[in-house]
Amino acid sequence: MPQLQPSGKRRAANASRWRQRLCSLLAGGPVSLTIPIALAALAVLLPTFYSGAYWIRELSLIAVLALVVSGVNLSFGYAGELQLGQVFMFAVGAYLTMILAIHGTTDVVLLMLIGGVAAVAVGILIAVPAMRIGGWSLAMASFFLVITIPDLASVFSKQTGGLNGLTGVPIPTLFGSQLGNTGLYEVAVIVTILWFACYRNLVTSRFGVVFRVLRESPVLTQSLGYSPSKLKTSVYALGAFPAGVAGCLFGYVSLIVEPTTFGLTLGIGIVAASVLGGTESVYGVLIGAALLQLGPEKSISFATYAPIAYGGFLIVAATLLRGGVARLGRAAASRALRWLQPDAVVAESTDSGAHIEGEPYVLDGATGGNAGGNGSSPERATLPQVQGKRVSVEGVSKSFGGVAALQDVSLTAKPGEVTGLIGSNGSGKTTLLNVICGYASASGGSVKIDDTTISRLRPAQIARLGVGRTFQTPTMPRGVSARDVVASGRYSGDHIGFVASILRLPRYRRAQRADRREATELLQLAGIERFADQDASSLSLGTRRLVEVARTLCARPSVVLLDEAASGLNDEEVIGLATLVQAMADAGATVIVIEHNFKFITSVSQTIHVLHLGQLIASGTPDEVSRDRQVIESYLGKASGTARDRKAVAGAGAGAGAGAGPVPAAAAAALLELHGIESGYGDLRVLRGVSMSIPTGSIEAILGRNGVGKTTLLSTIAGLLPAWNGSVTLLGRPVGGSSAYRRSAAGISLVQEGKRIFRRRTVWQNVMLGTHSLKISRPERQRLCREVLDLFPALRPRTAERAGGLSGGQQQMLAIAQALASRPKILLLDEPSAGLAPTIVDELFARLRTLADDGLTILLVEQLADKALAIADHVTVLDRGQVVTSGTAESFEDVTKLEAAYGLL
Amino acid sequence: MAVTLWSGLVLGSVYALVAAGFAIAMVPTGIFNFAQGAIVIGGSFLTYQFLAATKIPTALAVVLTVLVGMGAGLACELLAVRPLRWGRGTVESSAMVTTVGASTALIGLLAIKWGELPLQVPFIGPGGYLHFLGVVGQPVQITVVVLAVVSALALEAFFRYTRTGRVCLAVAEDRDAAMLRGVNVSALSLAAFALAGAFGAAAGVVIGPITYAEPVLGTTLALYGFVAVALGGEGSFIGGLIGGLIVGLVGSLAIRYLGASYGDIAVLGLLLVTLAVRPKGLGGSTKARSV
Repeated sequence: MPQLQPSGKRRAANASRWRQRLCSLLAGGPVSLTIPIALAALAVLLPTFYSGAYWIRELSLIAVLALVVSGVNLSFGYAGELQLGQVFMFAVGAYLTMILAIHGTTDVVLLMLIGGVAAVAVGILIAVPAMRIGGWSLAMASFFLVITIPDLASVFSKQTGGLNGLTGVPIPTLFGSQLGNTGLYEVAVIVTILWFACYRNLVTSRFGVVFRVLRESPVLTQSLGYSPSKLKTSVYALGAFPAGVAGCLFGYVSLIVEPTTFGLTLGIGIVAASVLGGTESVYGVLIGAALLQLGPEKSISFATYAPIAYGGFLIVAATLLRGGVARLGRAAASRALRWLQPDAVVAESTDSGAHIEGEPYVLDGATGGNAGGNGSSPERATLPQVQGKRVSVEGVSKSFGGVAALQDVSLTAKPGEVTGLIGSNGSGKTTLLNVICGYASASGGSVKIDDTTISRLRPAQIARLGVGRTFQTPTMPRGVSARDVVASGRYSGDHIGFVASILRLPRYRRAQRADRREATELLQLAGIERFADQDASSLSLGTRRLVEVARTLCARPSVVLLDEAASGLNDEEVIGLATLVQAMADAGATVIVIEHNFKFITSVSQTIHVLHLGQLIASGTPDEVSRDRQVIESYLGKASGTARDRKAVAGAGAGAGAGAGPVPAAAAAALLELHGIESGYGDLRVLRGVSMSIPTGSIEAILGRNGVGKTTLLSTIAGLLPAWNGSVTLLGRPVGGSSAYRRSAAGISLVQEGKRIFRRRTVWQNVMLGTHSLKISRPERQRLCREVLDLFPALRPRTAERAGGLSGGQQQMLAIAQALASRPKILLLDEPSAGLAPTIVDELFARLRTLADDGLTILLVEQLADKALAIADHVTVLDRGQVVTSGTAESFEDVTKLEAAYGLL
Repeated sequence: MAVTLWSGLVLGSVYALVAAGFAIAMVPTGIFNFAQGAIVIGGSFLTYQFLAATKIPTALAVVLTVLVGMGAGLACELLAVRPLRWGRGTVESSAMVTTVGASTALIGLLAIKWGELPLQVPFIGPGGYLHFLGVVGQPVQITVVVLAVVSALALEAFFRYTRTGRVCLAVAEDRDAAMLRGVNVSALSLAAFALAGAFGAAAGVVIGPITYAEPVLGTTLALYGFVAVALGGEGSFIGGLIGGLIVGLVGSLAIRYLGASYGDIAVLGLLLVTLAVRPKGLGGSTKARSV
């Protein structure tokens, strides 16, 4: 029996290795190169066993079109710009080379080069202004360029033959000897194969990743150390080259160059072919080009219906298919993979892959995933040492318009330490971060990295000084694996150019190996190595954050800035993040962390600085800062004055002729009921089950730190955000299924934070707009508006003024007036006191109290607890998307209860 | 010279009408519907069909044409724009691709039904010639100029002075805020596209006799109309009128003094100069946004 077992196992092992090889074939690893090589050989050798002139010609033309379409793949698929300039460059190539041929220069290789270079020159000429305009204007200008082709041909009709076309194309020569049709075919096929090899090498190299980043976010491109405008110019130039080459071949194959060939139909057809094949697929181009050439030839009806087909493709592609036919093929392939190897961790394989040649793409079926699935218990791993740089912020001020976001802020972050930066909304944390990274320039003061002042430098230059940062929303380009995303962090430090990438020089291979090695190490450190080969944009938010942090680290930065990296992470992921942060500091880097999550930032930082309304109000160790009264008050407001304020407001309310104080909660019926509300943005869960019941005619205050879900709650009630779970009921009727405008008509009126009125309309028009959902006559509407405006004496004399010209306080009142004009049943207010002077806030809140006493229900979200407590009947405190505590306003007169609820203790 | 100016004015009014159609859809939705040009020339084709081919009473022909135009506008919204709101990515940039696709498909349909050659479209009004200011003008030309001016003024007034118009402007300024105030932005989007389609087809009824009905004009009109919008400022009707007139004059003068092939080239030059110098155009726009 012992003999049988090993051989049985060996047979099983053999079988599984075949399955593995088949898998890697389908998954698109280097093994799959055999298929295109076989196809290429077939194409080159075709004339040896088939000599029909028709098909030789057709295949030549398909090769020509494939060259043109591949250029569009670059500019549309990777740079994201729709432009038909490709046809223009095709025409330039064709005309220029054929004119030269007629005048004696007939060598096909020379002419192809000339055509290519001429097209590149035109491409760069177009690219320079195109960069400034982008979008629609670029597309339209390129369309225009195409329709001027016949006109330009007429203008230069002596050389071009005008509208009749350029005839008399001579026989092509190759190094002196003439080429027949077969010879020309071979040249076309070989050139196409060469171009596609280069193209494939380029887009599976780092540049594939960089182009995808470019399409997704110019900001991210800069932070990786690349200039978006230079990259875009390169893309246009690269895309133009094959068009010029194709022009030469086209001229020789068709023997006539007519302006009508290069029309809008061809232009749109090329884009449609690119879209059909899949703008990111190397091989889909051939499918698209074949259809474009053969379709009209094979059937007259295709030619007639072609425009409808092209138009339909564009619509369908932009709405549904992101990757065209090739993507469908890949989706089918991954399904086949799953059937073949159910245990394997099948990554959604991406065409870019950026696979390293020579290293087999192994799907480790036996162990069910890559080693490193034990990432949940991170050891105290170490990063290679870096030379940290000191960040000195000296007296930095920054204003936007008249608003001072930062006022004379000075702080230092030392190498080898973690420095924390906290502050409530509007404190200026992110502005400071942007100033340090170069995305905003300081109005006063300076920032130094070691001894270099960075005020004149651009973000890409600062990145190259060794400053790395993460963004609040991790931007992952689509179609790039997590490993490649992490590796992209080291691109600018270890720069490899186009030529080295295309030719796969040793320098390139060394860099690729280093990329893979370092990326894998960092993923292991973060505990997410099992996701290494998956499409990064499909990962959960927490994992994406960790991938982003890993990417920042891959550049071995001397300074690391983390912008709210812990937000949205679950407990396990927070631990992974803390490990990374600690490892960074241990390695010697200067780490600056901006956070809302108190526990996290106090656990990792050595020093914490607190900002409030643009000023630095406290600095010290986590212990010192958490006990600092000023810090607590910046979050809570002066809660100590609560009792006094309540009496003052009640007095003011009585003075204005209001009713007899707040309605006892027990007597009033529930106006709004929430049960188990869960919602969020994308895959970020913000609310984790919130329930409350709000009686009619009361003021409910919703308090909590920033980032806990207060705004999300109001948006969900108002219908701007769909609730994932739970119900919203107004007066007994569920409104969960209604869209926002219906809920407004039903009586839920939301005033968003930020004074969102219509600035170009007058005050009167704004209030009139508020009455939109009421079906009343015009005189009644006007009377209602006047009534509402009477509540706000500051607005009454300004009805004809443009809303944009009002002061902040007046704009806020206008926003509330607008909401009141719809005669709501419940008014939702999101931080109405933000940015207003205290006396104005008092006046405003007194008005709200009066309205509540008259029967209006108000849901008031505030960060500054003191003013809200003064007028509220009932209080609910949120933390991390859940209700932490609630009770009557009186029960919160003890300040410590509130501080505990805010998580400050 | 007078003749050149007159023809420039007439063609300029044609472009202004196309630009107005663009603006009607763009103001409440922010979407530039490239297919508007195809709808305009489609209106011309329908006029040809109803008046020259299968002769039916004029009033009925116009009504039918406008109704079909409305339908085409609705189809654009439902097929090329609405589905984009369900996906990710900005709607405006994807709408570029889909409306170009819609335009291509529509023009393909027109070519299938009526062929590629230009067709002469009868005018619903009187024929003949009028002599004034050293110019020989036709009633249809005068109609187009008057229509362009009147519609620009009327539309500007509608959007600025009526309640519905102001609601549209508010939606253009801040879509979410408008939704919260009870505006059914979804229905508004449909209505805007329907109105733009109806207007475009109606414009086609009088434009057809001047330009002849030819499928390729669907794209040409859209492109020239775009230049008019770029000049006049996105969302401004008066701007679109002035922009259109400038485009018409530039083209006309170029053809007269430089040669027949220089019309397109001159207008392309005008577009590039405008984009370089004043990306926002001449007139005020309801929403300052780079196109």
